[in-house]
Amino acid sequence: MTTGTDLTVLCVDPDAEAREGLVAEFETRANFAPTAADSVGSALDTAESTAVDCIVAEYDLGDGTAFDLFEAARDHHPNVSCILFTDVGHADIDSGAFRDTVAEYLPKGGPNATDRLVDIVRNAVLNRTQVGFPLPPDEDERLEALADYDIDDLTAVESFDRFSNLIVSHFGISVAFVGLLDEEEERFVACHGADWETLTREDSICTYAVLDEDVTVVENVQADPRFEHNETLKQLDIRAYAGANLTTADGTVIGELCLIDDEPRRFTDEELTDLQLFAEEVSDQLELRRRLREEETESTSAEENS
Amino acid sequence: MTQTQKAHYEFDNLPLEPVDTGTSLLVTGPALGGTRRLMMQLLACQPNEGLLLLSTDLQGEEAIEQFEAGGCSYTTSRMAVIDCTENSADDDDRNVHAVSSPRDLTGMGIVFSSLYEDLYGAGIERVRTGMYTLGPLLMYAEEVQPLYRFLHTVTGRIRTADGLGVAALDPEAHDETTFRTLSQPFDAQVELRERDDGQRQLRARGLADQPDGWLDVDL
Repeated sequence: MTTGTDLTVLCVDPDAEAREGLVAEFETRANFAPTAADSVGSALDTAESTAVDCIVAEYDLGDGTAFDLFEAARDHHPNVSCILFTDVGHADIDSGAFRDTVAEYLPKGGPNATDRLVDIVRNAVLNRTQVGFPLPPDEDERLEALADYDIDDLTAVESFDRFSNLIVSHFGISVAFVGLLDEEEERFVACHGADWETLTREDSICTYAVLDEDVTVVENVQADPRFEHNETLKQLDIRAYAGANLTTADGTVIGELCLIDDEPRRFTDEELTDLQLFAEEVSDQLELRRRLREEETESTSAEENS
Repeated sequence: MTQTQKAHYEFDNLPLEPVDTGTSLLVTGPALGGTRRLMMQLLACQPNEGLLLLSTDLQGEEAIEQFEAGGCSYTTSRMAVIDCTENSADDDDRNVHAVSSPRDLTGMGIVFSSLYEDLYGAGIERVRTGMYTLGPLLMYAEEVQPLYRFLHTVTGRIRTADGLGVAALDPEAHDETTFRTLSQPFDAQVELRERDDGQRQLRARGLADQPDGWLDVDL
């Protein structure tokens, strides 16, 4: 979700009256931008073309169930909140093939059902209650701090490329990268040894590393219960990992400087100390870029006001 | 009942101060060291409070027995058990609802939300939710992402609905990093330990206005 904008709610129901009623309900509330769809197919068309914060769906959607929709929608928006809003009782809902989907459920006929729905939608999106990864306790402040950096601009900065190049040869590893974690994905500002651009928060080891103050080491990624079934990491040949926090001047963690190897390996204390020093250097560079950007913005607005 | 009282959940037989509504606690301690007893004490309901108990290791009736051993009688009009064991079975008379297995996180979440709404519909606005224990969920989970989604969803519902959540996990049964990251969806922890002389003690971490350090507790 983008801070400061309305919550986009996709209301999916084959029954036109119910669908339009739901859209009308959200339209009467502040800070909601509802859209509508009548089937799995049409809802996915919408979800693929626009940003969606939350999907509210009836169980039987004609061309599939709400679970088919939730599963497919999360391929595009891993953090989208999914709410089953239906008269079908829990005993008649078949979750057998979708036991990992996980969604909120609210009976349509319950007391104050629409008020309850609005509360649940708001909480699910704003408090990120359906994300498939652990969240740092200061996630909101962290994202605010990250917004002060221009990630697209940073990607073009050569010094980060030089850092990752130098790090790969210094440690004798296969890949080094500078990654910043935004709300949905990790974006690689520089990456040497591979051509990775992004990785979802769910898949990224850095999602876990930002929770720790110290350098995070995973000597054998495929033997760690958090990552052993993670196919993406396997495909990218991420077998060993060491990550040091990249922090703002006030200590907020915005990303990681990482060492990756294509086979399990140990890291010596000296190597981890070096990694920490490199990370501090990269953090300083990031801070410098942020200040430059701030000054540019200030001088532009001063010119506009003069 | 005054507004101040309403904003908290109280624990009659434990050395813990009341906690704010919407809080979810992770109770940690060895499986054989009284963790279940501690959790049942935390779930001991005041009159007019509801209970939802997700049981992953004991079938419905056995779970009810454990709850009642905590000193509270099980009242079907405001209490329900979600039996998530491998051999789960519905029992309408006892308000026990079966989920096919501890692997079915989607089913578990939906039954939980549905029963929560039933209680709300019956005018019960204060609900204590227990999960004993997270161990089987972790053991059966092929990937950790759905488990996070599930825990975030349940604790999120508890927060929105001004409930109280209590889940148990044996830290010694899991490696430290898994344990630490799995505790993230919870607001605070209550740790239980047994001293060499057999005295059990608890400690609250991450909760405001609680006594410091280890406190003796009789379970």
